[in-house]
Amino acid sequence: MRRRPTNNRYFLVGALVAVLIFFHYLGWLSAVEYFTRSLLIPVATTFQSWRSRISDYYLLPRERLAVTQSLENCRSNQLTGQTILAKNKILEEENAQLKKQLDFKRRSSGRMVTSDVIGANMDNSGNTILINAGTLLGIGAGDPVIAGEGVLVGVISKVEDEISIVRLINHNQSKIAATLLNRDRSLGVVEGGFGISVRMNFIPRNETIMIGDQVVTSGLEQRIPRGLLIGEVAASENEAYQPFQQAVLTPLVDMAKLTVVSVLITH
Amino acid sequence: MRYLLKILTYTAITFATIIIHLLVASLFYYPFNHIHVVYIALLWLLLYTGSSIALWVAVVLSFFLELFVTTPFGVNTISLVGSLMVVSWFLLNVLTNRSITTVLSASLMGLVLYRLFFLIILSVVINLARSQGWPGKEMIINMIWEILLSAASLALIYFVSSRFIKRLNPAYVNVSARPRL
Repeated sequence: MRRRPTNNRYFLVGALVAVLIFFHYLGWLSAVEYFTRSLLIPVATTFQSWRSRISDYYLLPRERLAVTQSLENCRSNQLTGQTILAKNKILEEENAQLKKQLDFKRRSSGRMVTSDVIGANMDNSGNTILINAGTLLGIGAGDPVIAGEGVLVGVISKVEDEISIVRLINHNQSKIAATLLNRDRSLGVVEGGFGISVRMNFIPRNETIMIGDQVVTSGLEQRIPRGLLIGEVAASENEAYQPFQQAVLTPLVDMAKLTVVSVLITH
Repeated sequence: MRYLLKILTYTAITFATIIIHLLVASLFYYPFNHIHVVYIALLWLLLYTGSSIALWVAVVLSFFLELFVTTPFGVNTISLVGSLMVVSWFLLNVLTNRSITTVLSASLMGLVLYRLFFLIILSVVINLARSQGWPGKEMIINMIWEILLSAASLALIYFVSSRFIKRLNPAYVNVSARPRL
């Protein structure tokens, strides 16, 4: 017959528990505890190593997925950051250009229209840019286009209601009357068609050209006012068999990197 | 010889229980690693034997468990054996019927009491020793998982084993208890 727990047995079990705890704190069970631990710890260690292996086996695909996801998020964030940084740089450059143009506008008396460059070399015919301002804002063909603090970059060659095409000074059909700021104030014509540089022709041979001399518009053309900066002399060519000497000019702005320009309304 | 065999059997059961407990705690993933195999085994033994042997085994098993816990020695033993005593008394005097409902309610009661005793004794020890170590919210959540999953596991084990063990099947108990005319 099975022994049912009675009050007496409950008391005995309780007493055994009390004795165990008492003996433990006295240190009398140390040997038993050590023996039991030495039996069970290897088992627990084995289970733990199994757990690691199972984790490697089952959790690896999930962890790999999580890592891949994190990597993609990081890349996306990095891309967003880079985009913001690039936008910021562009805005900084635009801001600097606008400040310069605003400064020029304050100094000049004529009317000016500032616009964004929305395209370049659209027809592949030469160095042209497209701006988002046209006849509706008063722009007419032949109006000079400047960048920065009054640096001439081109002339309006074609104009529509809302857009205009600017022929840049290095365009092969561009011809602008100019003056060298040398001792003789030499007159000439600045022509394009030589890559990124421009040339000033028809400079009398007896006039002295120094490298670094600035070239400005002469004002001899009806639509282009005097004093707009075009570039600096990088080299001069004075051949004995030619009636005029030439100067190779370096434009003061990079024509390929124009983002904001202003059109001087002169008609 | 018979007693020796009995002692050996219970020793083997004790070690097997501890090993399964370690296995579940190590290999299973949250929250299933909180299934209290020792408590399930003891309750099952209590249901199966209906004798005080489960309480003696409980003392030995809780002693083994004490070797692997961070709480002060005795907290786990007192709460485990104490709660098992209460459940044992209930199973003998109140929940005398053997059904899955009885098993479920007994196990829930036992586990809740076990953790209640545990928290009370632990708080007393902490206050007496003026030490830090009160279980946080996470431990309470783990205890809730332990209670729910262990009770469900025992109910499942009882349901399956009652199909094969006559002693656990109330239908056989009723037949055998019927007075012969």
